[in-house]
Amino acid sequence: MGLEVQGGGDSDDPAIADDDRLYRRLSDSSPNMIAVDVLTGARRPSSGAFKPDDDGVSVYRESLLQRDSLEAVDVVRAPQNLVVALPVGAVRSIRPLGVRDDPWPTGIPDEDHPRNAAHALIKGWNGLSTGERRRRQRALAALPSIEFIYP
Amino acid sequence: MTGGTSGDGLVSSRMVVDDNPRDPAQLPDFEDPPVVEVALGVQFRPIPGLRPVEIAGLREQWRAEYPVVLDQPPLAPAIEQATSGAHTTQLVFGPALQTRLWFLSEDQSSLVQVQHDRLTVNWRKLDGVPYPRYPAVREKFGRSFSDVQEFVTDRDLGPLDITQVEANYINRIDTDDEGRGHLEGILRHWSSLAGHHLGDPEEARVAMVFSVPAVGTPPVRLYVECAPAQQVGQAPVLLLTLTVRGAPLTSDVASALQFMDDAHAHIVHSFAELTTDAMHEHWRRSR
Amino acid sequence: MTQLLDRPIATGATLYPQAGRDRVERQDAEDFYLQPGPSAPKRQIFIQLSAAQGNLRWLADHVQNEVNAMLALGDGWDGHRAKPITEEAVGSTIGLVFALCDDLSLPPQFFPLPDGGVQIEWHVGGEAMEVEIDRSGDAHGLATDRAGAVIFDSSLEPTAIETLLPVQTIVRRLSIRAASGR
Repeated sequence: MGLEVQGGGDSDDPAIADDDRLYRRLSDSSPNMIAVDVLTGARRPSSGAFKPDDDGVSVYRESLLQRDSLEAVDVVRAPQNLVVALPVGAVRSIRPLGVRDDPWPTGIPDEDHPRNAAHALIKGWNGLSTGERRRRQRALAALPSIEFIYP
Repeated sequence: MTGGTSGDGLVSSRMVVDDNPRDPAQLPDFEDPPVVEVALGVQFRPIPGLRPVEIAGLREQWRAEYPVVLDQPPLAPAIEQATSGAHTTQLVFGPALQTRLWFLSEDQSSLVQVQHDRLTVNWRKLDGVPYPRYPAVREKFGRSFSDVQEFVTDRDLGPLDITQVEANYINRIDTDDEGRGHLEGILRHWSSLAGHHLGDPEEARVAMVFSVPAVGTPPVRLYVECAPAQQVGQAPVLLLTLTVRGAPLTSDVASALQFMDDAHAHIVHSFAELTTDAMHEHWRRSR
Repeated sequence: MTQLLDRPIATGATLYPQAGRDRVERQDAEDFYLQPGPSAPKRQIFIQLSAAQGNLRWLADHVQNEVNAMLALGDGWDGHRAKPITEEAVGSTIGLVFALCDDLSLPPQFFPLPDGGVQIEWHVGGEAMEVEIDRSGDAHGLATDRAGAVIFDSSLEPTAIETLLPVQTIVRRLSIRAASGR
């Protein structure tokens, strides 16, 4: 897909292991964020589900959740939510994306929920053109290693 | 103004709209025009709080001038859009369409129509009330708009962001049953169809749409329709309807009024250009 | 059938009903407009089609349902900092759908975006066509083939047909594939 772009060091923390996984909360109704291939029936997150906010794409680190005895279900906030997991290494393969911890973010619902100790961001979006950004969103959504882990 | 005199001494109606089409002194004028209704109106971004129960305050404010209040079915949005491609859509943001309220004068010749996304002021020819002329209807619209704007501002219901302006002139031309198919007596460019193997048509309708340049924000259009009509228990007539509609330059009332002035000029010029000299004589054209 | 000659004229006229084709009778209004209930949503769209578009009513209904579902989303709808969908995004989205689709098209899937924009997508047999509309209404198209290679990556101008033609072609091809099951 031609995703080689020079990235900045601030977008990644190399101390986060490649084999850690990132949990991304989605939903399949109200709103629906799961795209369906009408021929194959394959279900994948919409690439729009990985559109970054100003600071990046919000995720939760599996290793930190497990450290605090939390699971994928603890990332869920509503009955229609589902959780997908992406390996950190797979995210990093989509240059120049990286992962940095962002514990206890403010200005979000349930700020005090214990899961927020494991909050992290997929970063590296600054300076990308619209097309470059969208290609990376698409690449995240299409990662073969992406896994629906809840429910 | 170009053209010359016809054989009967009337000035040819081929008009050139000059640099100041809105100048009343340059508009065609008729002492006895066939106009039976003028409607000047605006559509604005829906204001959900402008519901009948909330408009009670307006009722009190307008009671002296408009003592009669009636409920009417709502009017659908009518938005001018570009015609590229084979489709047009209209969007309305807001709750389900609310009732339209009519505020009527005692003699019912003056009317203000209010719904949550529209304000229209009408003059209607009822019981021989003479046409008060455009400036008077415009003035009533301006006052009504100010009242509604103050009303929504005082109650913090939202701004009146005007999205469309519309000027309508409906002219009634008396005819008989045969006349509904004889538009050549009314419309300058319509030819008699007496040579058709079936003779003259029983009825005929003409519709035209013109693009109006240099007014408001494009697209702005002039719609013209000449069609038969008949009220219950009344004789058949021909209605010559001219409508100019489009978005103003900006969403404020000053821009809307300027649009109306321009629209009025185009309507008057078109009315004179499209109709026959014989009808002009009947309507006593003075300019 | 043309479009302009079917437009309503003299809206607001009162003396002769025939003079105003826009007069919406109660029953007609109910065909188009939802009745308010005790929890009537604050924002809804109502798509009106001209007579020339009558064969696209199914598409309008689909778009209406999808967009109204997204319009019901409030602040933080993603459990984070997502913003409500903007009117500008909705307007552009609807314009693009009707520009890209015809009566034989596979309708797109609709997704809200956290910045208040909308994304519409077609996925057929591993191929994908995605159009992102940001909160300002600006649009960008991205298409990938079955191998994941990008075959279209460009901004879209709803009023510039030349920017839409390639996407129309892709949508048409995907629609045919979907209809044929291959």
